[in-house]
Amino acid sequence: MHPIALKRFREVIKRPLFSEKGTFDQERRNKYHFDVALDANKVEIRRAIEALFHVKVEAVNTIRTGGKTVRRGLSTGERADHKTAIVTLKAGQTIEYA
Amino acid sequence: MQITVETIAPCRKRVRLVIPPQKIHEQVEGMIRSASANLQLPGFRKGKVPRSLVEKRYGTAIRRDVKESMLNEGFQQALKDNNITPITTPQIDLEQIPLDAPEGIKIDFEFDARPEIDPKGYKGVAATVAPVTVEPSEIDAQVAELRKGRRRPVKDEAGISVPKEGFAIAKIQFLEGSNVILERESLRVMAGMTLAGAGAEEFEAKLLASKRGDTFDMPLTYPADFEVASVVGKPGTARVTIREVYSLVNPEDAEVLKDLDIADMETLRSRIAEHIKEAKEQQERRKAEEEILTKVMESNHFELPERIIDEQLDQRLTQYKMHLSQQGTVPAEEVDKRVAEERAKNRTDFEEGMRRLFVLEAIAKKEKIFVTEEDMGREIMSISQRNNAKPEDVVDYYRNNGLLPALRIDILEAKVRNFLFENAQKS
Repeated sequence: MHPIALKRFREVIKRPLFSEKGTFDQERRNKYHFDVALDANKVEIRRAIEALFHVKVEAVNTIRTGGKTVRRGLSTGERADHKTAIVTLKAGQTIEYA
Repeated sequence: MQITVETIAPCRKRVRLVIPPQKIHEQVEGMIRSASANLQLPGFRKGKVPRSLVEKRYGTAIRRDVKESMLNEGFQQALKDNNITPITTPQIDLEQIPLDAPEGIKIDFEFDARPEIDPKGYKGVAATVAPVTVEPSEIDAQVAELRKGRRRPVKDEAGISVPKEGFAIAKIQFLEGSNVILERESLRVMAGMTLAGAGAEEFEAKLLASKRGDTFDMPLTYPADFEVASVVGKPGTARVTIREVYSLVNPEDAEVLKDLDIADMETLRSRIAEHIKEAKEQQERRKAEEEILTKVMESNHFELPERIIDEQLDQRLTQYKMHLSQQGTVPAEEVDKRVAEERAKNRTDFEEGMRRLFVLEAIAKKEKIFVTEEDMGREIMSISQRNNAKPEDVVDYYRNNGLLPALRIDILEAKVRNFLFENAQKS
């Protein structure tokens, strides 16, 4: 793989997400949750997952969530927006995190 | 868990622990279950973190904890079953113990144990306590000491020479050739004093031969710390001029009595007699306690943990070596020789001290003699009174310097000595 492509894949897939729902999806539906770059599209996510984890992807679903507005006394701010990808792997494929 | 204890040297034990794989598995599973139930991770409700995630994240630490707790449990069990009191902790490298071996864990470790002593022959030991008498001459000597401590200076008007038990006020001029380079006025000079760079005996002889208004010269070599740096190491003269002469006069009995707030000489003498008697009795008692202890030691033989003696001695001698090196008075090549000499000299004493401590502790255990918090409080109060300090400061000092256990041992030793004395056959 070309180093530039690898760099982009690593930008696209920020980190795996671990939560109760994610664990449930992973164990029962072979779906893995990832925090991904806001500008990443489903095709890029699929390629990145396939390249980084050497698995075959069945489908990619994304959820884009706007950051919440937070207040600290008089000042207000905003948390960062983020995008979650739910990646369904083909049957028999699994991802093992180190 | 299978535990075997064997004695490999005097006071040295070897423990072999054999832990079956099933027990290890149960322990690890139990720890993971308990961790999952209590763990709080973002994204999960309490107790809902999946086992696989707990194992992945905390598995190594959990396994280490399991090893530690099983070893600890085995060690404690070995001590309890065999009635052993350890004096060193076993050194075990946990990393080297594989937890997943199919045959389980087999660990061997060694440690030093307190000698097993069943103290005997410590009751009814014959001891000599000599009767105490106070001679009038001893009281006279004490009264003379009291007088001496209260002597007052009386200025000489008759022109006597400086008395040995007195002093003079003098001017001292330091000369280089005939030039005065330094002058000091109103200095108190007396017999036994030294003038830096000059002969002490000559100075005393000349001083005791001088009267008010006399002047004498003392040849000297200016010492390294002399105030005028330019003359250091050079020969010179100190010119001493006696301004005033004082003799020290003993006070009248009435003055001593008033100072001590005592009505008459008879009361003073009887109080002194009491003090002397008390001191002598204490001295006799210490001698008797020592005699009893020596006899008790003769009836109790046991092997000592050599390694501990060496370790403790090494610690002390390291401090001694550091002290010698820091002082700088002993040449570097001499330091090791001195340390070796000290080791040879101290080893027997040190061994004897440890032997005594073990025997006294064994007697304390058998006779159920303990150091209570009250004992500690009393001792701390006594230390604070002796040193004019607050009890809290004494406690802080002992705690910060790790001396509280040593204090406890001192009190225990005193209590056992007292017990031995009370139970001895005194003649």
